[in-house]
Amino acid sequence: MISNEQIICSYIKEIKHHLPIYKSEEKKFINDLQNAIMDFSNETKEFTYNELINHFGSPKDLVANYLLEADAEHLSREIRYSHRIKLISIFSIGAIIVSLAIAIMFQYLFYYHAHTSYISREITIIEEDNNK
Amino acid sequence: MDNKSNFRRGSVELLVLHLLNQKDYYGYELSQTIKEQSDSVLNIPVGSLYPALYKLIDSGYISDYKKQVGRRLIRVYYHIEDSGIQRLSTLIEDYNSTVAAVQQVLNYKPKNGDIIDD
Repeated sequence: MISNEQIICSYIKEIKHHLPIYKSEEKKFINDLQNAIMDFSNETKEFTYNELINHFGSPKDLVANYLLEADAEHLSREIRYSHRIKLISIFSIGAIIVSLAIAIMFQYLFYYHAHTSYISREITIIEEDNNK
Repeated sequence: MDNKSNFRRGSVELLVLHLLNQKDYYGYELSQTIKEQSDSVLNIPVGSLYPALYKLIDSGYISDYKKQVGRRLIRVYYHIEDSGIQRLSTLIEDYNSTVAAVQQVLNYKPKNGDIIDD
């Protein structure tokens, strides 16, 4: 049988999964929510995951309610920030891939040049004059 | 959240400030008291309640403090400030005038002369 703590844990995990950002405000919200669930747990003693959803709402609805009521400026700032981080990451990964491709290309060109070239040599025969 | 909840969403600030004007509450207690006192008509989800409380704290209308309950649970209590009491009286005035105005519109019936027949 699943314990109350396991049910709460998976419920909170699901909520965190649906939050588009997870900064100090969201951490505070999760903390307060956990306390509220603990109060519910103390009142109800034993409950199922569905009973928790019936009381507090589905994780998706709960996050939707939070986003609807949360400070718009904070949300917009954090979403902009995470978008910028995403762009920088994509650009950095792209730059690394291009650099690697160029390095591999040059390596191949050196190899190809070395493979197709031959050592030119010149044979000089010095003959000893025995008549002297 | 259903449409009814959207209609009632605006009253969260008023209800929270009114209850906090009686005594200090913790989050879950606030949500349960509103539900019980309204015969489950007003059910403010905690997802909406906490951001509303954070906004009230940011505005300086309420403050919060922590209290250890038992070994593991720490409850955050909310306390109304003087500016919150002033805000509450403004909201009550606003609420009463809005209810009266809405009621007036709902009571309105056009006179026969005002009805335009096709």
